[in-house]
Amino acid sequence: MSWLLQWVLPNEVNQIDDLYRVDIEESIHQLEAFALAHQNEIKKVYIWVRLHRPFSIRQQMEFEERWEKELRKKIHQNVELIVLDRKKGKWFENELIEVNREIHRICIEEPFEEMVLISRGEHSQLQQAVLIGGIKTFANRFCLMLQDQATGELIRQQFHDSPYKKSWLQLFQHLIHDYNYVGALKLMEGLEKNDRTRFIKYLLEVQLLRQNFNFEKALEKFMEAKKIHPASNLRLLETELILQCLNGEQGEQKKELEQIQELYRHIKALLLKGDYPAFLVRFYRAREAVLRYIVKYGPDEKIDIPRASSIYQFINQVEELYEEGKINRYFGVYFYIKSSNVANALNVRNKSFIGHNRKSISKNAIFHEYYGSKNIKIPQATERFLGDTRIMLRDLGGALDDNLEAMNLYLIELMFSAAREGAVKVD
Amino acid sequence: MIHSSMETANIPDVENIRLHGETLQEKLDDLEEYLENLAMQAKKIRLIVEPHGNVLTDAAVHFCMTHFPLKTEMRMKQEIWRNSDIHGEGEEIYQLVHHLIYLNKYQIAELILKNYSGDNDLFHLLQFGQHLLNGNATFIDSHNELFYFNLLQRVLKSIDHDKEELQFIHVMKGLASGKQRPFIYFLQNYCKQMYKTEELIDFIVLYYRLAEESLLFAMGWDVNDSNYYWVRKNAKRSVPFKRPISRHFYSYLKIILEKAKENPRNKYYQELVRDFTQDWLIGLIDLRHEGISGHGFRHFSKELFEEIASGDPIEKMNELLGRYGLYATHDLFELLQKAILAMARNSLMGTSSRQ
Repeated sequence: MSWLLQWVLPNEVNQIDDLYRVDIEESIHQLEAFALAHQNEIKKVYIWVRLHRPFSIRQQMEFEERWEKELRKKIHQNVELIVLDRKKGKWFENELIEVNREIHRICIEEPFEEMVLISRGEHSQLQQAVLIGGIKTFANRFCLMLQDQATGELIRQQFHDSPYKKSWLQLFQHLIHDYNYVGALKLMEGLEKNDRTRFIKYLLEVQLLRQNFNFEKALEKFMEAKKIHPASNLRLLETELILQCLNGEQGEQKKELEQIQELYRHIKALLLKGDYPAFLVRFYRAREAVLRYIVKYGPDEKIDIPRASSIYQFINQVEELYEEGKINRYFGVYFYIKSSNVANALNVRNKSFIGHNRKSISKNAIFHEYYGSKNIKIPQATERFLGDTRIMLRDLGGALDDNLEAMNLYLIELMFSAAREGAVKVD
Repeated sequence: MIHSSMETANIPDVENIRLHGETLQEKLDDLEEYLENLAMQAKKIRLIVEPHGNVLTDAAVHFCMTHFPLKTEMRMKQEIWRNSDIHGEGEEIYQLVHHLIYLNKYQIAELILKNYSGDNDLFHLLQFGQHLLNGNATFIDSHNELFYFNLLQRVLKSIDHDKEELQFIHVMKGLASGKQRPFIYFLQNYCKQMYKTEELIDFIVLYYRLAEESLLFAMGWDVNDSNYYWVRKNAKRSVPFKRPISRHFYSYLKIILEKAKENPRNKYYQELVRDFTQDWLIGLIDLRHEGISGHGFRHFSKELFEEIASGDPIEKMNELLGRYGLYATHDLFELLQKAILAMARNSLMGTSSRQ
C-alpha cells in the first residue's frame, strides 16, 4: 500500500500570495523535506487549507491552480489542495462533517491506499478534524505519523483492529454524501423507532421524492416531519420554501424558476457523485427548460411561437425574438445556453446509449467538449461548469444554492446527535 | 492533557504522570499503556487539545478513538466533543453490502469491502458494475477487452456452474462492440434495475431506448454508431429498407405504419403495428416525453407508471419482447451481483469467524 499523505497547514489563508507567507513557507518546507525522504512510499499529497475569508468561485479556482502548480514543483509529487471555505458553524462537529465529506471522496477515489496524517504538535481544529475523520473513515488504513520537532524522530502509529470498519454511522454518512436516500432509508430499517428516527426518515423520504420530481408528495412528507418537530431552522425553512415554490404556492413564474433551480441542484449533485448518464439526462432537459423560460418571461407581452421540431430550430426562433427586439433581457442566459460549450457537451449524450447510439459515456468526453479543449483537469472543468451555471441562474433571477448538500449535512448532524444522546440503537 | 514540560517540578493541584523513556516511541508506548489502564477504571476519557500542544496528543486521540470509541471526549477551546457510534457485526455488514450491491451502489460497497478483503477479482467485478452503469463493458486494456466478462464467467463457474447463465454472459460479450441483441438485453436489464431503485427519470429514458431498439430489431434492421442502417441477413421477416428520417421511435413507427397501410393483408406488418402501438407502450413513451426525461416536469412515481401501463411496465415489456425473441432470460446485473455477493460473503464471514 502506498501513502495518501495528509498535510494540514497550521494557519488560515487570506489570499493567493500567502503561499509566500513565512509560516506557510516554513510548513511547506517541512513537507518538502518529509516528501523527499519518503518519495517512494507516497502516492499523492493532500494539503488541507482553511480560508480566513470567503473567496469567489473564480478566486478559489485560481488559488487552487496556482498553489497546486507551485507545490508540485516544490514537492515533486502529485498534489491536491483541499480548500475549505471559511468555517460555517461554530461547533467542531460542523467542521468534522465538512472535512468528512472530503475524506469520503478520497476514500472512494483511492480504495486501496493508506491515509497517512503527519502530526507535529500543531493542533488546529482542522488538524483534529482530519485526524478524527481519517481514523473513522479509513479505519485500518489510517496511520498517524508523529514527528518530534526537537529530535526529528519519526514514529508511526497504526492499529489493525479499528472498530470503525463496522461503523453504522460511517456507512450512513457515506450513503448521504452519495445522495443515496434509498440506501439510507434501508439502513434505518434496523433502528429503533422513535420521534428522532421518524423525523430523519421523513426528511430522507422528502429528498428521495425530490429526485423523482414528485414535489407534492415531498411537501406532504415534509409536513409530516414538521408535526414531529415544529421548530424550524434555516435549512428546514429554505427547504420548505423551495417545496412550496415547486408546488406553485408562490405563483406560476416562481414555480417555473424553482423547477429550473431544482433541476440544477440535482445536476450538481450528480456531478459531485459522478453519475454521468443521469447528469446528461437532466442537463439536456435544463437547456430546453431555460430557453422556454426566457421565451415565456423575456418578452413584455405574451408571444406565441410555432412548435419547433428540434432544439436547434427552437434556438433559431429565440434568436429571432432577440433580433426583433421582442426580448430585452436574459442576454447572458441566452448566449450561454446556446453556446457551443453546452451544445457540444450535450452532443455526448446524443451519441451515447441514452441518446441515439450504443456508445458508453465518459466524463472526459463531456468535459473536454464543454471546456473546448483537453487541456483541463476534470475537477476544474466541473468547477467551471458550476461557476457558469451560477452566473446563468443569477441572470435568470435565481441562484445555485447548496440546499441538497445543506440538507445532507443536516441529516448527518441529526443522526450524530441522536446517536450521541443514545436515542438510536440497532435493534 | 499531555504537557511537555522541561521543568522537573510537577504542576500543582493535578495528578502528574511522567512518561518514561528517552525516545518518542518509548514515551508513546508508555502513554498507551497508561491509557489502557485508565480506561479500565474510567467512564470517560477527556483529552484536552491545545493549539500548540504536545505531539503525543494526536497519538492519544488516535489510540483512544480506536480502543475506547465510546469513552473518548475531546476538549478544544471551550467546547467538548464526544465521539459517538453505532456498531454492526459481521452478519450485519454482509447485509449492508448485500443491500448496496442490490442497489447497484458498487462504489460504496467497494469502500466497505476493502476493509475485509484483498481479493482483486472481487474489486474488478465491482468496477465492472460501476462501468456498466455508464454503458461501458470493455476493460481498459485494449488487448484484453473482454476481461470483465471472462472474469465473471470464471467466478460464476466456481459458484454453481449454471450452463445457461454462462451462455448468457457469452452472448453479452457482444455488448463490448455494441452488437444489437446484447445491447437490447443490456437495456432490458438496466431498466429493471432502475425501476427497482426508483430512479424513475433514468428508468424511463432507458425504457424508451429499449422500445426504440426493439422496434428496429422487429423490423429486421440494424444500425451502427455512424447511423448506417441495414437489413439483418439472418432476419426471418423484415420490412423492406427505406431510410428513416431520424433515429427515433416515431420515425421507425412511421415507416411501418406506411407499409401496413400499403399492404393491409400483410400479417407481419399488421402485427408490428399492433404490437408497437399498444396503448400502454405509447402511454409510457409519451410519459417519458412529459418528464425531465423528455421535455416537461411531470412528477414520476411507480404508481403513475403502473396506472399508465395498466400493470407492471417491466412485465408488459417482457411480454412484447418475448414475441420477437428478445426477452432476456437472465440479467447481467443480477449475475454480477450474485458473483460479487458470493465473494463478499466469503471475505466477510471469513474475517468475522477469525475474530
